Amino acid sequence: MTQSALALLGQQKVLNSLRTLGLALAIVLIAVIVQSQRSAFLSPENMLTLVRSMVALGMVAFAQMLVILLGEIDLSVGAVYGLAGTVTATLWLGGGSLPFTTPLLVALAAGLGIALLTGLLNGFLTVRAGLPSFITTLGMLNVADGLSLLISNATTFTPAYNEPLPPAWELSFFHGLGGALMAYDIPVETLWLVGAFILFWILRHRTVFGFRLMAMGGNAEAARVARLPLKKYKYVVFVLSALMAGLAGILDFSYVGSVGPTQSSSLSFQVIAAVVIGGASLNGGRGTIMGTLLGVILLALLNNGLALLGVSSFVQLLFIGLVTIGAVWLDLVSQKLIRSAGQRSVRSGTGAVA
Amino acid sequence: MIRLTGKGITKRYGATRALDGLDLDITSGSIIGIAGPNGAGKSTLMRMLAGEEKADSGEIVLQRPDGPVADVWQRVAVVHQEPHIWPNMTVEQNLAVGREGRWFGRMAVDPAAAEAVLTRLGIAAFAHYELADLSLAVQQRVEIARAMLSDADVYLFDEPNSALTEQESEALFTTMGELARDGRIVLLITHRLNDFVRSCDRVLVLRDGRISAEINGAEISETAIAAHLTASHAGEKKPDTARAAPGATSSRDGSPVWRLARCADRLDAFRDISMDLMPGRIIALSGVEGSGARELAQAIGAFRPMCEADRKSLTPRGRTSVSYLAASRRHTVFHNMSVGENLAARLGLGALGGRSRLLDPGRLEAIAREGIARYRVKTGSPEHPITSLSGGNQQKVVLGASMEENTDIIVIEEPTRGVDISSKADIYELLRDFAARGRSVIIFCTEVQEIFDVADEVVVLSRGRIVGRIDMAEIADIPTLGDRLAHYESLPETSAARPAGERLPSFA
Repeated sequence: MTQSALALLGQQKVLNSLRTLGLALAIVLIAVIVQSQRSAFLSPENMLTLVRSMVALGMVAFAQMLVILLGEIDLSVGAVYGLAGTVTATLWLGGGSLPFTTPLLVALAAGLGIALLTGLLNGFLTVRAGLPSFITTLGMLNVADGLSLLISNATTFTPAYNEPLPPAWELSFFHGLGGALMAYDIPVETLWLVGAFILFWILRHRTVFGFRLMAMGGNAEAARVARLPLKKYKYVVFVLSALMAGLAGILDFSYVGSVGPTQSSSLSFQVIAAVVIGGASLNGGRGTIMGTLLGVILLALLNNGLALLGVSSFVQLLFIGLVTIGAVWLDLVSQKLIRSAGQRSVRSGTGAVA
Repeated sequence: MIRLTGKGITKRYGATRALDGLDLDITSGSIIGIAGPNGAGKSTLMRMLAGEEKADSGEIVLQRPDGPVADVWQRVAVVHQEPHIWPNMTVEQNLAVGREGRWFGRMAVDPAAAEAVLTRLGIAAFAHYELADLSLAVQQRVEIARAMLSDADVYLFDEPNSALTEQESEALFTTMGELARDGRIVLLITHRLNDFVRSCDRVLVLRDGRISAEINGAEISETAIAAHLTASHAGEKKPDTARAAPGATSSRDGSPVWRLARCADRLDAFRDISMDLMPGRIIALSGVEGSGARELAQAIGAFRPMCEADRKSLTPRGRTSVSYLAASRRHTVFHNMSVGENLAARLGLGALGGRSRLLDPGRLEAIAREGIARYRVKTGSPEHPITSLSGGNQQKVVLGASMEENTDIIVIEEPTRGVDISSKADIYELLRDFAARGRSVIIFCTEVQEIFDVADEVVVLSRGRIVGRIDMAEIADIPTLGDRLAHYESLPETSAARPAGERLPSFA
């Protein structure tokens, strides 16, 4: 009986579920600790704040997970997030270094368009020029940050107080994209997070696209021999990643009601931390959307909880760094233990029969 | 009936002609062997059929009953010698990659077909395990399963059984025969001449980029093929099937290099192992996948923890040193380095450092030059990249690198996997020389021929225990050895109950 239970441990599905469960337990544990110290934690207001703080992180992390699944990395997302918001704002509101303005819809399209362009460029440099994506996207991080500053002239844009004021329908439409509140004061932005989660979960776990990404990330050489479209898929994941970063930037702009330069620098690294805490391997071939969501929740929860507990922001930073390292280490150790237990039973039990 | 023809196929790499006007005419119905020394163009021909390379001139035509096929490679399934599989995915998922069939939903191939193929290959129990957790032999069978599941016209097996045991090979050849009788073209490329004799009705001998001879039906024998293979290599040694020199075996009365007393594996792959590693002796460990023989070799090679009988304390190694060579050259060759660097790769500062404790390029070069001569590596210069060598020469380099370590024990898994006949003879001789210097050599190998050629003693494992020991001095020919091995492997599990204190500890 125990033998077959042990043999189950080696199976991939079981391994993945156990790891997800472990992460969920860690989240519950942190929540309980924070709640026991500050009863305001579980209040609806704080929960809304918490969920809202996950939106950009989550949307960008889902796409980043696909990049990492393929064995590449996209460091430029933080800057693209800022660039898309800045381009939209400058074109719509004026006041930057551009000599003209456009209607909101054109500005939005331009914001997403420039994100798309950086994604294509990342893909081109990685696939065609053969540069390591770490270098490509590190460069793109600086290029996009520089472009944001150049275009915006380092101005902060606030649509509601802009001179001249944009048409009323544009203001309300833009506010409606992410900032408007629905029933129970839930911001529209959270719907985007839920939508992105469902979309990316299907893409990763229920399409040939996700399946092949996993194969390509696991063994690129075998994928080449099996004639999987590796290059095309690389373009697609870089474009997806950049688009999600751009979209998140615009939605946060809508929610916050203003956008300024260099608000984005640390997002890239938080996103990667969340993906890795969620069980993805930087070597490629491993990673789930559910795990990534839990990684995002864990990071957001830590930020929120530590702030509630009144920990200074310096110490918060230190704490989050240690948690990132600790979580990945713990995962590694527990995986090893579980796997060896599974292997042992395969050898002494079912393996001998088969 | 399917017919595969090629006319005047030529392929050049720089100055060398890998294929030089090769003509080919193959029809379905039986297994066709392709033999040839390393560098004869076998792998180039294979890559061409698989569509991984394009011919410089000439063309390959695949004629089906309903007309010629446009893209030949689409109808070709290849079993690569080094499995091309996905370590991060389950066995089942590996079968589905590239032939998911639909864009949306749960990705898997037809479960009934997959189940049948996996059962036939004996790996159905592993369907939901990740390949990274499974052994090389299982991984290679997954590669075979992938080919068998594809509905191809041409099946190309490149050393498919190099990680399989005798019985498993037998099952594989049966399957290949069924494919052939089913009207497919089945090609077998291997260095094991015996496999041609067992399975093929027709053997093509490839030399210098073209087919130099064809052997049919009853004329196929190991000597006939070997004669064609070595025709112009007359100066080179033929495989030396003589036992180790009497002088080497006389030292068996001395004290062992290392003594194993009731050793066990922490993951229970083997237990209760007692054996003496005597100087000057080559011991072959034999056993099917899961018998623990491979794991025991790895444990002796210090590549895997080995415990005392109480399963807690690690077995002390004492003052013996050991070097270990893994089965797959993927895990032994440093592909990014030159021949010379590979030879020196396992050495420390003691051998490589000058007086300043910095790396001494002169000593590195001296080691490389000596090593190339001593281990009979055929290369233009020590600076050539190791990837430019043939498989047999790469193997000699990694073997040399581990011998350079000058350890008391050397453990080698599959010493001549994917190695041609003349390199094989060299490698056996190197192993015997090494043993003759008072060292202990342990090999894990699945090939009866190889055990016969090189071993002084065989230890047979089954279900994690030693079930038999064979002194090779008593064995006169290969069939006798095969029978003895099969006899030990098929013994029923010994009912001798384990002592109460020796229970498998429950996993905490």
